[in-house]
Amino acid sequence: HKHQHQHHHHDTEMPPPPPVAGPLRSIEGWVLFVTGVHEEAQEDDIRDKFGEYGLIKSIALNLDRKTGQVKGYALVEFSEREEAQDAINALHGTPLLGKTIGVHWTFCRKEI
Amino acid sequence: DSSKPETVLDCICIGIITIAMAVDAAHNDEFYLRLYIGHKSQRFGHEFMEIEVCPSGKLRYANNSNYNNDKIIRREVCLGPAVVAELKRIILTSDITTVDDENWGEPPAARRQELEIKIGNEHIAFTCAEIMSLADVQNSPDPKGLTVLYYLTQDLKCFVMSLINLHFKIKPIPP
Repeated sequence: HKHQHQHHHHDTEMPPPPPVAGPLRSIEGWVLFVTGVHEEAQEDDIRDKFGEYGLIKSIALNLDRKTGQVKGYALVEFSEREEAQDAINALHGTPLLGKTIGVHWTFCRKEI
Repeated sequence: DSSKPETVLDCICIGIITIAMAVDAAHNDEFYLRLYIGHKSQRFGHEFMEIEVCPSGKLRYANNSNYNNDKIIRREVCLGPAVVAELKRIILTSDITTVDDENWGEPPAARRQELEIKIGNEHIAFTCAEIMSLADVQNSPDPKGLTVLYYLTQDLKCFVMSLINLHFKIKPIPP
């Protein structure tokens, strides 16, 4: 059930995600690694952005143990590779709460 | 803009310098992380958790707790470069490189944690008694340094547990 695609402003100065030696599927799906997450982001902010590309199976939005704010990264799991790839293509280099996020594959098939 | 190359020779010189810097950075770019937290007791044997991130990006995780009937859980997975970059960022922003263990003394063998990091030109190795909470560090010889170590350890554990849990969908119980 895909919604209409929003138009995302891509930060053209941000380099594309570096190529990995083949993304690796996790035991139940495909896990994306999100960088540059705003310290006040909430799980719903992630869900709203990424949910457009498929059904999200899991989100991990870890907090900084000292400050209690978001540490700066998140993990988002999709069932299907295509959904995860769509999210990378659409969201890498776009703003979340005004801060540019990177969207990458988390795991890879070979050592870098 | 006076820094713009004006001749072919300028371009060649800039190119050579850039390559030299890249090679230098590549050699200094080797990253290694090891975190061990464990305790040994007569009742429960050796309960520990160990995390290792190799220069290749391979994450190795081992956990032995009395909840698993003494079967050590071991997992390995290759991390993408963005994940390794974020680990480095977390380490560098923690100020761990400013910590000095000169006054720490020898920790007990039975209850300790070890943190070893190779990042850029720095090689850090800290060993101390297992820090269960911030209250533990207040009466120590170096509350400030041990507090930095405590928070970094917590952040690294949290990060790696999320990676392991999502990739393998297991819920190991950290000691």
